[in-house]
Amino acid sequence: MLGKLPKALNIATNICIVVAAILMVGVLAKRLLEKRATAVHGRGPINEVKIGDRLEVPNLDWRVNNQTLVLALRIDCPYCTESAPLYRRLVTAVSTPKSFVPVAVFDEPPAESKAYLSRLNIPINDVRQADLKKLAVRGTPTLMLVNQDGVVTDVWFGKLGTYRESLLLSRLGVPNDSPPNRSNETDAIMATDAQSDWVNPVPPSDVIDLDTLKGMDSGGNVILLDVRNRKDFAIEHNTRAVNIPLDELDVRASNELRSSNQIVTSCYCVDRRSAIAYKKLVDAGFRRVKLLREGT
Amino acid sequence: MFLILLISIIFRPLSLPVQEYRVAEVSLRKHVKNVVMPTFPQDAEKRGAKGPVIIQVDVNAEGNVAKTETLQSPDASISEAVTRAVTQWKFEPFRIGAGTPVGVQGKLTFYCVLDAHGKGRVENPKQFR
Repeated sequence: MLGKLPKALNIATNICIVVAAILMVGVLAKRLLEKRATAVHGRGPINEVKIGDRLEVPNLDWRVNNQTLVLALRIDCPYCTESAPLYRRLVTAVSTPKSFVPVAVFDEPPAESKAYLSRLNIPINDVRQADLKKLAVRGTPTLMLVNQDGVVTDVWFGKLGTYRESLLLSRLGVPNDSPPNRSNETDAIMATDAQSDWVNPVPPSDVIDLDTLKGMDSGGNVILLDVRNRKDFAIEHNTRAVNIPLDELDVRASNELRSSNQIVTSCYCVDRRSAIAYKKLVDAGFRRVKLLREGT
Repeated sequence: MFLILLISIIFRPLSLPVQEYRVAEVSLRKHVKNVVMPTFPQDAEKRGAKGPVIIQVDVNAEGNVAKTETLQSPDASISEAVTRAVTQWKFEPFRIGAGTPVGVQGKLTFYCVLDAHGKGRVENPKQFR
């Protein structure tokens, strides 16, 4: 009996080693899978849907509609709920004329999503379920205007402030006759809404072209402010331009720009970033601000 | 014992998700509980480095800085000093409404300035001083 004990211990030790090895492999596999999930689901760099992206929603044929307005929402998203009046307005306005068709996309099952929309009195008939992360929707609400090729032609993130709401309505051809209501704006967490504080458009007298800019340059004291992100700025920019990305302007303008400077905002883009920058600067007390037409 | 250790490693809670939402610097700074200001590196002083430093931070649901990335800096040693300091910052957890805490991503701005004697210091933007 005693003679068998060492052998039994030996076998038990071997079994322990094998189990330990299996567990080690399990740990490594789990870590590897975790890393992959991180890359896909946003603990790594944020890949957010943007204009020009091709959108794929399961079983949704973009060709059926001239334009489709995709409302990416979540049932537990307070900003979606707070934006209900806007969505109601959009959906009820589209019937005449029918310039776009709204489609609501949720992570949650359609039955729950429809009940949610019904509670908010948003009459959207087409409600889909899709993994929002796979659509590169990083936060809700996100609204995307999609053409017949499935390409995103415009996108709006977060709960919209007065100005961006008016831009959305204008873009979709929905009449906008109600006065701006700033009371429902929020300074809390939003998906990526850095432009919610707009009241008036840029006056035509403050829009200049390149020739005027060159004339101003000869007088000096002019700052050509490029408000694109660093990546876009690095690809190509005016050699005289100063880069302050739009989302940093609120903090940096009062620290880095002087009110005595003539500031010309530009972004060499079509998404009105320079116009938003113009308004931010005027609101911050800068009086000598112009907007470069090519930069609107 | 070895097996218990392994099992505890495998089944320990996964790290909380971070940077699900972007927040403005104003919101980010409103949530700061503990601030450690960077010191101006001497070698950067000698080089006369000055200007804005922009650091992107990922704050996890527990309010800790999980990741940083220098977006703009006048000098590599300043970038290191600011990163070291910011990593020690603590934030009140960010919540959406009354919901559970979420991870957020935002930017922090600092200014490196040199006085008349060439002595450097790192400052917050004036609206946060």
